[in-house]
Amino acid sequence: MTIAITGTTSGGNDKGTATWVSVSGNIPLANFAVGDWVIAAVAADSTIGPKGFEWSVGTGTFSDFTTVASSNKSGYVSVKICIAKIATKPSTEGYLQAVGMRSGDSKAGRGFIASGLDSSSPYDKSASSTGSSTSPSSGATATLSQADELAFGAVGTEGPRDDTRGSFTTGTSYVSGNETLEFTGTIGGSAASNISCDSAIEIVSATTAQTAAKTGITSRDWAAVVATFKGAASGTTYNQSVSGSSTATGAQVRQANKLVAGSSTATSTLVRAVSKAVAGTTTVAGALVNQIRKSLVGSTTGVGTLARRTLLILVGSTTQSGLLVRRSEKFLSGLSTLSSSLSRVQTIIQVLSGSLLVGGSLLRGVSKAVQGSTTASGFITRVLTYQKTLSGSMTTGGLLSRSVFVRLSGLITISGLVQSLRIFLLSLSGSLTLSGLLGKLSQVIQSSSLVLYSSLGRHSSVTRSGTITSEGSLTREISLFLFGLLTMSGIIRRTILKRVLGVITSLGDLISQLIKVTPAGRVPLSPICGTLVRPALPSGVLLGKIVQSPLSMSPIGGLLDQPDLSSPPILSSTLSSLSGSVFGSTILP
Amino acid sequence: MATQTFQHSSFGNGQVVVEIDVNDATWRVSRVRCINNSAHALAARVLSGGTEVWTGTAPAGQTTQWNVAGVQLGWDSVNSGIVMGNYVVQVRWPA
Repeated sequence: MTIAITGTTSGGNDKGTATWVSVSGNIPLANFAVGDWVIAAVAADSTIGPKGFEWSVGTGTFSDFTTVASSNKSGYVSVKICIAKIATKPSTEGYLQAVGMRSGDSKAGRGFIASGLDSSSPYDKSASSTGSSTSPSSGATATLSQADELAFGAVGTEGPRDDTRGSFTTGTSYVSGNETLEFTGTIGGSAASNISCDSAIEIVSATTAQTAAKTGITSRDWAAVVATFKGAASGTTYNQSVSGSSTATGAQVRQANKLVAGSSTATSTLVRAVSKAVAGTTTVAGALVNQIRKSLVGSTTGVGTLARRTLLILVGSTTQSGLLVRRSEKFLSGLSTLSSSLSRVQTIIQVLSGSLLVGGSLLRGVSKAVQGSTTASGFITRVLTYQKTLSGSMTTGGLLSRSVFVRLSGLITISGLVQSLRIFLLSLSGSLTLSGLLGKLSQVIQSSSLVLYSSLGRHSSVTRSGTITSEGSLTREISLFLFGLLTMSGIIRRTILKRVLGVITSLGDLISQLIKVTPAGRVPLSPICGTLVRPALPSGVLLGKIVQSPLSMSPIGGLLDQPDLSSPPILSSTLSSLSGSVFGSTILP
Repeated sequence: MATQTFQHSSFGNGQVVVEIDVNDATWRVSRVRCINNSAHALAARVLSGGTEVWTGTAPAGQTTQWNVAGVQLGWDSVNSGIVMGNYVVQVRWPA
């Protein structure tokens, strides 16, 4: 919204009789609206007042009266900048008054009405100064908060209005302009009995610190002050059937584009953008809070922070080099590249036939129906990744904490450190290779191979027909309906197997194994080349005939230590093939 | 002897007030004080002939006092006002 000013033709003065002072000439009712702001500078002998604004006629009212800044040269002159919002318009054209002043003070004021300022709290920065010279200066404010602001500077002097007025210093860091034709002040008597006020108003488009300074005035005691006020963020922009370009250079609350064949560019903060059927390019160089695009054929580039993005039917490319908090994409057939950090990202990609590249860290990603490849080459921490129907490949080179995969038919390779990992796999027809540390792995209906080169904290498999190979240690494994092959070359702390039809081969130690409901004719412990410690075979749960009991495994190349064989049915087996040693066992014929 | 206090400037509807203490026996300014009840710091400086001779920052939410013995401000007993001479006191808020 554009900042505009109204009613700067003149000010007013009073030499010690009234408790108010006019700060403007008559302002036509059509020149302002409810919600506009009145801004005025009031200079006086003392620091008393003003306490508010009033219209000279009618019933108009104000709200939110605030003295935003003041400067006081005690005993000589003070100047204040006050602001209030127009609550209701007067019924008749009139002028503005600053009220609540002290009777007996000489006073002068200059004010105006501004539209397009922030509706709730426009005040931003200020500075004030006092002195005695021909060149008053407020001193510089701090750097402004935003580019679009209104700067208002005022100088109060202890002298009459027929003093040499001087001029406001100009330049990008000085407030000048809108100074009116007349110098405002009292006149008569001694010079020190008068008060004058001069002001300048400038609408700036940069964040440069502002100073109100004058040169060439009659040497007087003076007080100077400057204050800046923020412009409102740009309002909603609707573009329909635009074949050209749309560029937003200022703060923008909402932008809606339809059927844009050209380019749409936002160079600063864009809170929300909605685009439909964009065939051209969209570039956001500033912060983008929420972006929703549909049927985008061209490219989308976000250089700054992107809080949330939703894309539907993107055929072209998407590049995000800044921070991306959340992104949702559906039917992406092109290339999606994230080259920097992704913090707290939720990425939802459906029917991706292209590729997703993550060059930075990824906290959370949700992918559905990905047919292309997903590659994260950076550090990945505390990741929660959901992927459904991935027929391509996924590669993570960094840390992966948690992943959930459903119907994965492609290849997953995790070559970095995998700590406290929890992976759920459903209908895996491809292969999964983990070379780092694995905290927990759950698989359901795995038909392909799983290779673990490192430690596995806990592993649960249900209806697995593929193979599991663990070259690291296995702390606990629970397998149900195992049809495949389990080969362990490391230490196995505890294993619970139910209805195992396949073969388990342990080349390392097997500790505290619990086997329940083994089918007839199968013993899933052959061969064990390491030490078998305290196998527990509880009675009453063995349904089939055991041809080869754990004690008759052939061959046992290691050590069998204190087997608990208290159930008679298993003792019918023979030990003819035992080539190892048995210690502390109760073996009945 | 007593100390008289005069307000130099204020901001944010009085949330921030800068005061000057004057010794009415010597009519010398002894201290500058910032009562800052805002959420932002205030910056102050003194110029002498356009040259900065002193700077200070008053943190947010507290009162800060500076001894300004090196800044020889005076007192105009006729107008009951501070004689600035060649000095300019500037403050800005937020800093």
